Amino acid sequence: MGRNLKQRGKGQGSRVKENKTPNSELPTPNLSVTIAGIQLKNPVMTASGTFGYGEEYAPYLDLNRLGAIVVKGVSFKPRHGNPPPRIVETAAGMLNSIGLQNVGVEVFVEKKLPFLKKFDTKVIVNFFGDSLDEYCEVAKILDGTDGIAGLEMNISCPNKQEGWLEFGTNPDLCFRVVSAVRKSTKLPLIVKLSPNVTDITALAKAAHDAGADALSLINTLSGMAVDANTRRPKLGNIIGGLSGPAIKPVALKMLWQVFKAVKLPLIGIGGIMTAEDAIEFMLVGASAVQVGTANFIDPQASIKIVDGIEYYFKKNKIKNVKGLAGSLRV
Amino acid sequence: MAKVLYNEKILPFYYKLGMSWEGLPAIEPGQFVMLRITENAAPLLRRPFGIYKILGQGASLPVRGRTQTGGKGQGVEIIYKVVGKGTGLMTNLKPGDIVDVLGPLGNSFQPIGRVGAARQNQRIIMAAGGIGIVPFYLLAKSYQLSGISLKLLFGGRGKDDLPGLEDFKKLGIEIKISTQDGSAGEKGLVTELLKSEIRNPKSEIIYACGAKAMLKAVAKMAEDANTPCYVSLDNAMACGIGACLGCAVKIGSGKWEVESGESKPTSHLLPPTSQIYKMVCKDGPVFNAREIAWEEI
Repeated sequence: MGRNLKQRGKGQGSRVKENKTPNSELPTPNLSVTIAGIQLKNPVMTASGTFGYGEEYAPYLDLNRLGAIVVKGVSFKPRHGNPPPRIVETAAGMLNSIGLQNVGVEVFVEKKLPFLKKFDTKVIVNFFGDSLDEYCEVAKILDGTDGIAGLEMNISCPNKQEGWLEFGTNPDLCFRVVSAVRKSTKLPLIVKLSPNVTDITALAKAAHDAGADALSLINTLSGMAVDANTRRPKLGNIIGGLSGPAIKPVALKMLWQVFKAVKLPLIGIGGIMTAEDAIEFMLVGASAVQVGTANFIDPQASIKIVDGIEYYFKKNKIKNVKGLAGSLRV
Repeated sequence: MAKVLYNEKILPFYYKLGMSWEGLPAIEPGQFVMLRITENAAPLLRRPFGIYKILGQGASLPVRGRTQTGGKGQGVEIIYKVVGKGTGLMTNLKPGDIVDVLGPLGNSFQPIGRVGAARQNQRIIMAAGGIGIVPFYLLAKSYQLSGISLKLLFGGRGKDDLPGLEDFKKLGIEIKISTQDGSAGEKGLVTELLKSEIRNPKSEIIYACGAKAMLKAVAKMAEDANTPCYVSLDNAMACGIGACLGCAVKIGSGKWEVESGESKPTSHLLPPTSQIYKMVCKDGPVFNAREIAWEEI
């Protein structure tokens, strides 16, 4: 079953712990799930921006065990990102203002993707643009590239300033940009939604109507941290995106709202640290989850969550993900 | 995972934390670990700590995690300063407690023989400010038997801001001390000690670690004197492994490219032209002082 971790690289042994399969006498549940036409071996993905391009984490866990890797968002041209400080811890969470630093789509395809192709996991490429044309251009380049299972469109990043942000907050603009990208690629298209809106279901519907195959939510919550002693903002960009356990209740609620409003597969994101958190997202309607901030704290968090979900399925005699998604008792 | 061996207060705000670490990996001077002491959400993220010593039988040398006597390293010691909630909680750690250690991480001060390392005809000047002393114990150890002369310039606010001083005295290397309040050594800043030490750019190499203002001043002095200088930086970071891109430091315009006297530039010191940020966790924490955009620090 490929359950045992393969140790990668010399001298890395101490970083990789053996994971025991719990309750091995029970029948193994089927963790596989198909989202937006992408067949995943399990419903656990790593969230964009928290797992680099995979290679950073390869010494610490067996990438083959992941349902999918969602890579750091790529744009048409490389981006430098925001001035430091870029990270600050807040109550049960962290604020970041990385500013979408990335190597650009060209370098990603040439230098980063070949490494990921070596693994038996799905590669989902998160991408964004500064304009509608740029979104389409990046989508076209990725569409013609071998080894990509699907695309995740970032239409919202709280680090960025006005104008650009509106793709993620204005349903009409959201519809326009998703429609345009839809015409630029045949790859499965996931749209990642922002929580920084009045009514997230309006954006979900717009993305659905524009041809999205699935939705992932939520992106970080826009936030800010201030130093009372220096009287300065704690982030170089002043504002940033909040992630971690602090945002889970908000994410659960939004997922539940969207689940009731739109008939599209949903991927739950927001403060998932444990398998229990992941199950909660499934109960409110997620068919898969993305693990983000937890990767920073424990590089093996994602595969521990895979193990934990399997254990939960066994214990509760759940046959597959479908049997759980949206089964909240209300 | 590592087990706490001791957690000893060495000065009013400084502690030595010794941890046994099964299968200790190779450690080089200047590397760090990301430590987590609780599974609770406070603090949520790991924190970086420089590795001070390798624990084991005999005097430990930072060579592939082995001790000088050929024995295997059995653990590490860090020195931490109590500065906030997380380090405050660390003071409660007791022998036998389990802590989550990720590492060793980052690059290192170049060991003997590598490009960027001190050569036989060079003299090493280590400039440390307070907790910035941490990377220098292993560095001094690694050069101790090489015949290369080492000098430590150690500065702090006061006599209680010179952690580990006794350990360096035992190494028998030359030490000069400065304190801002004059309670130990010369009254003043460590950079003032450095001023009188820089004599000949061809035969000296400066390694520095401390507060940003101090490093900035050291880098300026080294540049003015055309002396090679490497600094170890600290920064807020989430992952420690180059994924979150949180610990960015701005890179300068390129005047640092090739140092006079260096055999050839090392590739890891040359950023692609498009790159303006480097990551302290992965590209560092040790940087050639000339590649940092100090005006932005």
